[in-house]
Amino acid sequence: MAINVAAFLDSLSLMVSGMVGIFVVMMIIYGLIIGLGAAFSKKKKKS
Amino acid sequence: MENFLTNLGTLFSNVTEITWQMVVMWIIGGVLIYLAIKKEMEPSLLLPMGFGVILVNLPFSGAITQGAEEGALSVLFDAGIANELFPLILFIGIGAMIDFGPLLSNPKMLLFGGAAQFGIFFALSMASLLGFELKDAASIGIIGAADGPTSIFVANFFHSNYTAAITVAAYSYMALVPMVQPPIIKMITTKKERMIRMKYEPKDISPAVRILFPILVTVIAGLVAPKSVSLIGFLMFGNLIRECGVLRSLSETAQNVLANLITIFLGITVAVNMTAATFLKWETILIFVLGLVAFIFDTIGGVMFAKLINLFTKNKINPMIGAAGISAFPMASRVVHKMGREEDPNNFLLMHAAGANVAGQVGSVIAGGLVMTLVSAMLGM
Repeated sequence: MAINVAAFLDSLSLMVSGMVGIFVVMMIIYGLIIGLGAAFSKKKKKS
Repeated sequence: MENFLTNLGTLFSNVTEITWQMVVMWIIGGVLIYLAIKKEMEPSLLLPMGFGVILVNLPFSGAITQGAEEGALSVLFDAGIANELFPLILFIGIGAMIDFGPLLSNPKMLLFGGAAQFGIFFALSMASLLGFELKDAASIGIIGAADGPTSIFVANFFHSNYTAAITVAAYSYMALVPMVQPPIIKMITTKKERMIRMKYEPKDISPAVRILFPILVTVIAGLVAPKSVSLIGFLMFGNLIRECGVLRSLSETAQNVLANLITIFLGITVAVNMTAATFLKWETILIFVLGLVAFIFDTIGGVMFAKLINLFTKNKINPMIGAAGISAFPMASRVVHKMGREEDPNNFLLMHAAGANVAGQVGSVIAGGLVMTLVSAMLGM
């Protein structure tokens, strides 16, 4: 096992894509919760 | 007399096959059992695992396959771990245990469930730097998901050579969250920040939202990271059983009987990979160090993200909440709540922290799926 700088540099792009990917999914789920909350609280108020 | 001595010699010939490596593994098994019983560290997993370690490290152990003779634990390993079935079934039970209420009341906490996965990618990069193959580095990074079943699932998916060490590290650090997180949190926050109070306004969550949430999250995660669909799908299926309101007995079975049964098999079966030949390597020590690095950088990621948000918002967030964005539930939220009360006895952060912690459970599974998708693409799998 030896230090592998090239592999480390490659993995940095993985880090960026991974973190961006997580935040994108989390933002979509965030929007989903807000949307669901708004949709079902309106129905409640109407009824 | 001669026959008697020959028979006696045959009976105990195995004793001469004992190696010092096996003895070291027995000690490791004993330590795991000790930690489970005396320190109550993840006892449901560490105890079966510790016993399994002793079982598989006896010379010519019949518990594991020896040549043409199949061993029971090896059969269980092929049936439940090699094909990732046990961790997935366990996820049904975990899903049935999760109450997404605090998260649905305060969806902002989702962001911390994302930020606190930073340690996964940091540890992955460090493992790559240290010379681990990418598939192994990805499996090691997943220790930072702070989620045992996800770690086993991802390590098996990549056919990692270090599944056993990764599993032990993941479960050990989950149990050690109350020791690992506080010094890191204190190091990167000021007393003033730790004293920030946050108003909690519980919302009435409609049953329809609770039912639609697991279904829609599965669809979203499945579309973004298709390899995560079984992982997130089984978790959310368990949650749907809980929230649908008509399957109370199934929900209770999933939370208790199913989860317990699978945990027993999972613990003892993971030990198949903990033979002296596969476990006693320098890499095992490195994996434990990298696992710790993953947990530390998860904590730093979550806390620093909360600080970043505070730069732009009027209602300040206690940055410790960010540290609760890891999946270790409920340890991480309890740590944050306790630290908040140490600084200000009237500061109640538990519900906010629980929201971030539940978000971490979703985040860790999504992170696992993303790692599988991205690394597979890089490796052309």
